[in-house]
Amino acid sequence: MHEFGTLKALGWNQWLVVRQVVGESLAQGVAGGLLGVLLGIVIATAIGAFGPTLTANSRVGGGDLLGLGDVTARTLTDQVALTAPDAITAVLAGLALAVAGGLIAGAAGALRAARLRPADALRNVE
Amino acid sequence: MQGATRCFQRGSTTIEAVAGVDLSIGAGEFVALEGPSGSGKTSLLQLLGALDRPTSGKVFFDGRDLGDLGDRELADLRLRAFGFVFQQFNLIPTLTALENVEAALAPAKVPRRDLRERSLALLDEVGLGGRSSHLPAHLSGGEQQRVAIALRSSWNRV
Repeated sequence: MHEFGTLKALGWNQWLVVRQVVGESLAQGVAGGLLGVLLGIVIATAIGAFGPTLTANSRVGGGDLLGLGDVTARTLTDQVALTAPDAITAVLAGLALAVAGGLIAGAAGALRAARLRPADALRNVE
Repeated sequence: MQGATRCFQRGSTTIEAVAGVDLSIGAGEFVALEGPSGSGKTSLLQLLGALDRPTSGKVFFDGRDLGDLGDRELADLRLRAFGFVFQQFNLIPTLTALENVEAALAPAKVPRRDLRERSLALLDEVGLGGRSSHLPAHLSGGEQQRVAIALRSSWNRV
């Protein structure tokens, strides 16, 4: 915030300040999104390679008729092999969310900074 | 200035930093403002330099009431008519000395190819051409002050 006061004291108008902050936020969103995509691909590949399996048991039937529940009940075992989606749509959605999040956060901060009088921004001690 | 007053609200307390000041400074005059710490010198200078607006009263520059000007016009005045060398220098810590000067010239829409050249020339004038790639944290206090003078003197180069 203090830096925006300096820039405004140098002659930067509100539009320039907003453009600077939004530009930085966009760059950070893209960089973060790309890093996230890369990390996601690595993790999805690892999950696919190791294929961990989840096991769940469930009891079916039985009841308590004549005390014979334990005799007539059956246990079903389900196994699910974990996979991770690697569809391009998921990747693009993740990237778009990262960029959008950065832009929204940046724009909100930029507008607040741009509206401050230079003296008020300079008084803001970090 | 005509009856310029600047008040600050701190909780339930109102601090009157500038109290009904009438002041006239003509072109070419050199004025020194002195007073003890907390007497309102900075607040007065901020009003004169269009960094702040008075709580009441008026501030004129070149016949124009600064209160009637919008953000773009005030920014243009700060770019072309006013220059500040702050007590704490106020350099941007993440930019090199050269980039700090370039930031001062950026609003003037100097062509990119000329921006670096002109910024280096300004740093050369204050004897810091060889330190242009250094961050403010790597400069001495005196060197930071010279960078601040270089970038504030850029106002008369646009």
